[in-house]
Amino acid sequence: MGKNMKLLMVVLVLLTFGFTIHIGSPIMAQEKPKSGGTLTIAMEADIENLDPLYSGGPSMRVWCNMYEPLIGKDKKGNLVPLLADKWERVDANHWKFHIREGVKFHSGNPCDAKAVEASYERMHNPQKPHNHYAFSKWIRSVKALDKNWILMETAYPFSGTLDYLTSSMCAVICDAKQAEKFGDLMKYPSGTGPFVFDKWELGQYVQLKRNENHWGGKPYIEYLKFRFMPEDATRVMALRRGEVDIVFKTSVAMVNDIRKDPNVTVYKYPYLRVNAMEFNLSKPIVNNNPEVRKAITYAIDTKSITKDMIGEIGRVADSIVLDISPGHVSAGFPVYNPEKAKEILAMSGWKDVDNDGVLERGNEKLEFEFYTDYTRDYRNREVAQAIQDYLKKIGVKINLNIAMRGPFVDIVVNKLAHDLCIMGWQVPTNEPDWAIYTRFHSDFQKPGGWGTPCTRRADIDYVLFRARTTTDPQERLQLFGFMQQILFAENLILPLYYVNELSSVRKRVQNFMEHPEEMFSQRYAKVWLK
Amino acid sequence: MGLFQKRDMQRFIKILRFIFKRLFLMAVTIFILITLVFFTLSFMPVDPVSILCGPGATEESIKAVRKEFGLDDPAYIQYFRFLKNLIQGDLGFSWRSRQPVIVEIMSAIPYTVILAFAAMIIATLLGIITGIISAKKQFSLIDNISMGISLIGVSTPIFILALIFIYIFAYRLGWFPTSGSETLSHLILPSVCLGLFVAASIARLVRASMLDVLRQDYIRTARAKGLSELTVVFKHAFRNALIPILTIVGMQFGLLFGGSVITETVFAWPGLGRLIITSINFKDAPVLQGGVMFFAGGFTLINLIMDIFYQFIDPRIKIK
Amino acid sequence: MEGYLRALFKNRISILSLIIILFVIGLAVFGPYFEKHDPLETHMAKMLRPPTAEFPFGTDALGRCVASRIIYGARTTLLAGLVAIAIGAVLGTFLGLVSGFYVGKVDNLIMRGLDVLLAFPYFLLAVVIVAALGPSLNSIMIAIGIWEMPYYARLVRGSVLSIKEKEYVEAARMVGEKDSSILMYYILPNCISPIIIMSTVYYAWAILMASTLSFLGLGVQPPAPEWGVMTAEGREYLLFAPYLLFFPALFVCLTASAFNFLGDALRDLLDPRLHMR
Repeated sequence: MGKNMKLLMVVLVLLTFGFTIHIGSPIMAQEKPKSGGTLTIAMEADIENLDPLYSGGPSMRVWCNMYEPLIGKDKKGNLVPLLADKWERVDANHWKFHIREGVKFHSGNPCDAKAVEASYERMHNPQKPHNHYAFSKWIRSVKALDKNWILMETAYPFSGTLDYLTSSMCAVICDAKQAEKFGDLMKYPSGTGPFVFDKWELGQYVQLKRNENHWGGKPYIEYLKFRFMPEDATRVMALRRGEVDIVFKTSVAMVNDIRKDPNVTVYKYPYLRVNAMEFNLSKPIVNNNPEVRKAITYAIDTKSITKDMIGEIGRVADSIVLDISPGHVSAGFPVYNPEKAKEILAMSGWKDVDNDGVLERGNEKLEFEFYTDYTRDYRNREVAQAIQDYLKKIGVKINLNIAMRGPFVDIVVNKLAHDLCIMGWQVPTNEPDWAIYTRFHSDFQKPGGWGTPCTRRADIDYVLFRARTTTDPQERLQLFGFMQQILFAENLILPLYYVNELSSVRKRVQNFMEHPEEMFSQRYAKVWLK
Repeated sequence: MGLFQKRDMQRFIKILRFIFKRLFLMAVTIFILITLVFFTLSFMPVDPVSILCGPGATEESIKAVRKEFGLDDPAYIQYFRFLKNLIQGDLGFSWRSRQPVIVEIMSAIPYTVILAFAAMIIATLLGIITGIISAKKQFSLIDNISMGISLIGVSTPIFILALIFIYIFAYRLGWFPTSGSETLSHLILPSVCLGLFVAASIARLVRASMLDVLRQDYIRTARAKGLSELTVVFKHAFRNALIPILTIVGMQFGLLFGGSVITETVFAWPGLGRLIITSINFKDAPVLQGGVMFFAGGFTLINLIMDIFYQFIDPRIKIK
Repeated sequence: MEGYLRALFKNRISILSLIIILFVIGLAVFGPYFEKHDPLETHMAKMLRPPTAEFPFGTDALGRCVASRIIYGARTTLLAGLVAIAIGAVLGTFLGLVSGFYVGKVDNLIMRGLDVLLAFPYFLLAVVIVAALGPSLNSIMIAIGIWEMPYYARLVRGSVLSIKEKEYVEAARMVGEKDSSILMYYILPNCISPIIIMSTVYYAWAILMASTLSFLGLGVQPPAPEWGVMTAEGREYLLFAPYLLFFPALFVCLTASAFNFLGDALRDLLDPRLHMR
């Protein structure tokens, strides 16, 4: 055989070999995650900036992938170590945490005990107030003991310490050195998370890149891109056409259509959010007439609202605490009995004197200013109108004010100018403390507090504080249960619905995590694209 | 030869003086505009503190924020501070994102310029051609149809046009992406939408102008001379109608800019118009202030440029 | 007067426009007697139904009757436009009269002032005013009125300038008649014609502007029925129930088109020069 012939034979053999392997390998590689690719997520609003201390909801959803807290919770609610791999409770007010060895911030600065201490220092600067200051007030100090151990001192024996520290909302560790260098982390973020900042086109998208040196191993996907698409319909259209891979909070109207699409899977799972109608108890007419509150509670059919209006994205709420929280007790809601409502009002002397459909008593009139926004829970517009209708039937008049987020917050949180409102309450973790303490304790009342406006009540404060500081887990749950029943007995608040999350995900996205905490930092760490 | 040059020089000086006078006027207009916008927006019932401080803010942090943003000072002091900062190019910080306002505006402006440019080209070509043809074949079927469509185009709010476009071309047919602004194909839908909207307006006015010109005597003379229709229309009629047509086109910039605000919002095109609308929704006064200023100021500048342009091209217009 | 009537009935298109306008007005005035549903009443069990016998245009996301919302929306939209151009006309006419009559410094000042208003492209002015006053029906009426004002002012000023030169005006002046009565009895009546003609067009603009502002969330607030608001509400369901968006949008287009056609016809036959304004 000539030299050329031999060469040709070798080449042919090699080619055949390679071809067979190539055919065979997809079958083998089916289970093995592929590296690379861009995962595109549609977001409703533009981010504010990338500093955890100075930004709000929309930004959180992006930077939660770049910053991590000390501990995390898996989707069942069990603690998992993140930046801290060991911890112990020294005494009632002291905890020790061991920071994982060898972790570095994205900037290259080491993340050791000193860095964690500096991060907490930055958070507790009263001169430069930030959005979540109030939530971490119970941490008195954090000190580095040696290279990797920190000692945390709390102001009182807070029973939810570990839980609180898992929250991506208020307990992430930031690179304080980087913040010092640039003034803040708004444009030059630096954390320890599985993704690093790549670029931000104002008004269009934010792109993150995988952290090659992440302590948990580098993520599979190379780029994580968040595109801003304020329109519901636009996001869905983009998903159908493959321009984005994930759309969160799919609307009920469109979800059935989306389910028919062979390229998309819809995941439904509970979400850490509850919607309730709040009474502004700082207004005398609301506070001094418990029978009016009771009547209003009986007049509104929350079950029908949840089933017919909210549909798949809601579950009927029977308490203010999520049903997936430990310590959840049915507080007796829903109760729908419009006849009883009318009876209660009539018995307390409310009559329609001037025949305008609205009840009066003396010189008081049952006419209330009702506020809601719909940026996060877009069905609240409709829910508010339905409530207006229900109350009209018992003779209570509602003046509806449907506002955008900014003015809504202004009226309801600052000025307390409303009588009733719908407030969506998002909790960072499934601990009942968030739902109840931050809502009803005086600490969170005015000024500018987000608590349900209550005349400050020493008894409620006492119960809540006991629950927070007891070291007996049983007692704690009992106290929370007790609190939930007070809510029902006195009608301090009317729970409407628990929120379900409907995530529409294209089939090429593998290993999507159905985690109730929207901002779980490791959410995309193990996701890969087919 | 010498006389010609002298007349030219005189005219040139006149034009220069005109330009300076107009520039001065423009500066005054913009100044009044800024003041007007500032005081109008000061009526806006908003308290940025809650937006900035978040939940559970303490008394001290609220006080600190109010001081930082100078919210406790009376209106006229805030106004003068605003002016002072403005001269230095500082438009303050967004209440929502805490980014400098000027950065947000500067990143938005190129998008608006591109959209406006593309839309204007479409609008001008389509509008002028349609207008001329309609005028030429007045009362024919083409005239009626195109004028009917134009009128409906002028009577349709642009957001409806935009939604129809998205529904048909992006969703049902899938030819174009639905929103965003990365590639050229993202530009096509919004610019065609805005372009058609303005074209409708231009077509109607061009038709009216051409009709006017075609009635003139010199056209009849040209026809009587036996020149071909094409020559008559393009060489004589069009040339004479050119100036009023350009005037019409210039007047449409207002429509173009205004329409771009809605187009940008519906198509999520990250331009200055969309920035303004979102800043209203978020009650972000600094961005709103800066955005409106730039928008109106830019528009005034373009009007001025068009005016100067007309001075140059039309020797018949007296220079005041 | 006969000029108007002749003009109106000559053209087929203008007859059609008149029919549409009368239909819409009739809808607004008499509609509630035919369509008995309360536009604000929700029927939770019957949400998002397509057109049926009970609900001629279907129901919206809260189970409200779309047809009755369209009818009441007609009232809101038409009224808003009317008030808006009334504001614009009154203010603008006054300014135009003064400006045209007393030329010179006053004229200059007023025109420069209006130029500032016109420096705002299209409806940015309305947006700013509504942002300041807070979104509501009243704010958009005021905002649109102020926006229309310079157009009326210019229109009237143009008329005044041409009428001023007429002999009977000169005569009246020489006789010593007071300025205000000259304005009232000689000049103003002659301006009425262009004002009415252009008002049809300005009214169409006002309606478009009102629905656009409401669409953006800057005007009438839900649950009040208004065509722009309904379009915005229907937008969410574009993929699912497009008729929620289609019907109010259609009505806006029809009404504005009708008024525009009418204005065109009037201008064509009575005063073609107005086309150039």
